Amino acid sequence: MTHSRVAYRDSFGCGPLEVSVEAETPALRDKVAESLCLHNVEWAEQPAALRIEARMVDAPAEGLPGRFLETARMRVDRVEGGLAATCDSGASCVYAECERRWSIAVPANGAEAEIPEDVELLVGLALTTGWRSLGWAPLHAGAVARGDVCALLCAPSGGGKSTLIAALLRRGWHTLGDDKLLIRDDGTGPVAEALIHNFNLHPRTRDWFPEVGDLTRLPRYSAWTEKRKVRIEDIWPSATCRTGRPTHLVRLERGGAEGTLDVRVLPRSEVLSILLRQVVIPNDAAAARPLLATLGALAGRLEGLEVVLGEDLYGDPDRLAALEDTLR
Amino acid sequence: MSDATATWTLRPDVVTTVVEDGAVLLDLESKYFYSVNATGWAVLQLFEAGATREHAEERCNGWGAPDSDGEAIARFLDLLLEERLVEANGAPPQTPEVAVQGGWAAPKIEKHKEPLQKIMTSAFDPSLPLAE
Repeated sequence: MTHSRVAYRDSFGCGPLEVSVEAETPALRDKVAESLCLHNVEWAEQPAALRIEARMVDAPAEGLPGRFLETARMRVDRVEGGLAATCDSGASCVYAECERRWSIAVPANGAEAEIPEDVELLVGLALTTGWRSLGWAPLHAGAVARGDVCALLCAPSGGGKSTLIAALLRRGWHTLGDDKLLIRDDGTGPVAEALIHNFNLHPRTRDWFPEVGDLTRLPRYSAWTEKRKVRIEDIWPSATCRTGRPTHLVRLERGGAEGTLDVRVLPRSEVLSILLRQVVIPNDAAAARPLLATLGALAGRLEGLEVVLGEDLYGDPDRLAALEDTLR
Repeated sequence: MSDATATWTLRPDVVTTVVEDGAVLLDLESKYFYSVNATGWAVLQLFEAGATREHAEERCNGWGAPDSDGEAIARFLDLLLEERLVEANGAPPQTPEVAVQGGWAAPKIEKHKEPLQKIMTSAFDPSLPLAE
């Protein structure tokens, strides 16, 4: 099988990276762009260049062992000059570190339009590797800020981060995002930076916050969830911020009595333990060491809280007062 | 570490970072992580360079360890070995300049209960993947 060599090019700002994409087909370019265009926060400094090339290939790649990193559908290994990764679908990529170039190869399984979802995993690998190389630790957390307070919110997917953040925005807080942040020590202490100013909200959020409107008119975020992607500023103007100095770490749990919100102060020893579980740390000492150093420095600055969210909590906005009191 | 004259070094896939009251160690193979106090970190720095058990015990005495802490020191060193945080090699022992921050206290190491995930959702999301 032969493939045309026409290149479909585009460029995307993804935090501290400016990613140029060159794809062999429009469908491939669109699939790569899907993940990149989520990053809609303007970066203050000059971004570093990263290249992603994507092409179709005849045969799926043979699986790698995943010694550098193993995810549910992707395995990553160090190879001479960089990294290599393979996915369950047979999609693969190779990273040439000195050129800052990722080459993604997607097996042509019949119809061209059938680009595997695994491409998203490979693009995510390219971004996280790029951010780490610039000294940033990618943190799977949301964040809210008001005055001198900046709280990192940690919970698994579906754990209530977005809804709690939305409730706090209505009380004058700002947000850096609900899911993905970058953390770095800038010499004066850890700083958190926003990457994405979208929320993934469930349509029933409207029951508590009517201003979100009818979310069912929007397409689903993915086939696996009822949630819809919305731009935060479209609903809560001026509610986003780009940067913050983290002061608190809040672990969210679901449970407790209906309509209640319980706050417990966590021992300092638990803060680092929670942080370590919000960051992907490769099984590679050179990659892991700076991440551990960033998280260790960050943990020393944070007050830890556990917040247990009861069902139907947001009917009465004053129920958040206990949390706000602790975050002063 | 039964042989007091063997040189032991921290395993290459155990990474460390200094924190306010000591250090944190992450074993990249087992994904367990450990907290050590300032004295424990001083001892570990000896093994970063390469040291014998005998040498580590002597340095503890030099840092002001009372006889009554001998058991705690032995327990700490045993645990480093049991948890495979250190390994024997043929390298000659080193004598790095290491000080105990804040003065002597018996070395302590705490193993955190739950290891980090070995298999994750994605390169950004370290949570346990959902079953498909």
